[in-house]
Amino acid sequence: MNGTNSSNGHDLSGLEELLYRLASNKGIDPEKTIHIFRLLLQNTGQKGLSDEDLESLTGYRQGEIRKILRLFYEIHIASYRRGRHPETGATRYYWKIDVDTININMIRRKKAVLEKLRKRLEYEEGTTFYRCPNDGSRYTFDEAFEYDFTCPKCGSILEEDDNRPYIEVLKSTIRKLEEEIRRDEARIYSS
Amino acid sequence: MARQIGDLEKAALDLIRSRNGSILQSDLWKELGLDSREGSRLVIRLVKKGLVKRETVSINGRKTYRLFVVEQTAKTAPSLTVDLKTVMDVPCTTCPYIAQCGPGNFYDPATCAWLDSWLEEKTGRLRLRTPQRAF
Repeated sequence: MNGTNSSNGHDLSGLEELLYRLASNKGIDPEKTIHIFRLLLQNTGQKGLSDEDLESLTGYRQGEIRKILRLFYEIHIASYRRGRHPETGATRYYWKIDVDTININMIRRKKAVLEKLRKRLEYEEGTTFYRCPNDGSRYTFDEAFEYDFTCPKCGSILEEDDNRPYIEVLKSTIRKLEEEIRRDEARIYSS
Repeated sequence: MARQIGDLEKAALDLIRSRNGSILQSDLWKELGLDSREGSRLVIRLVKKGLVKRETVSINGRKTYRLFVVEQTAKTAPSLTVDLKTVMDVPCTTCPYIAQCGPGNFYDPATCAWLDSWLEEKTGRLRLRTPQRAF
């Protein structure tokens, strides 16, 4: 086995940061996630590692390991192969990182985020909002109408909210992402 | 381990590389001083390890193979060329519910509280948590 603990000089730090944050948002130990990711990466090109192999390599609980593998699977950076245990013949799943498609799948994720932002922009542009001047809570026109344009928490009169700054932020982020995705795709499909 | 490469296989690969990465199978075993049986077994081993590809050709009415070296440089150095900086700033990127998120769903980009606070932060409008009095 070559390579040590770090990512073997490959630049995957951006991906590792994504995994780290995703794991913490899911309530999975982020350090363990990165550890498993690096172990799998070192074994790419071989037959892959089963959850039991990973358990004996790391000492983490199998439940944790499966959660982490599932996380990888959900964002399409790892895949598994069904195999048999060499001695007992029980079904085993051998996992590896799909290094060849990492970039394409990261573009996919970016596109998914872009889609959410577009939906949000649509909503912000098509809705009138009211805001409580006291506590800053925001209501749509329908909600405000139901409360007779008074704040249900403190009773003060609601004011019409100017959401142009929101629209501006959304638009500029969307523009930036579209531009980035175009450049990424040109780079990846040309190489 | 299937990864280990024997001396003979190494010699064969070097020979193919010295011929601009392709050679006829019959030339390969002749030049290595093998007979055709040993030659074809060697090639089958190389193909199984994914080091060589072959396609059928017919020379003077006899069937043989043309061999090509499979270069593996791209495979051994994975790297992320996609820039994640901008997208990492948006909460959706690291949201575990992105697959369930959509208009009318429980997770909805229109009413998402994480997007709310991101927008508030971006516009410098982050609200004070304690209510303020107007006077």
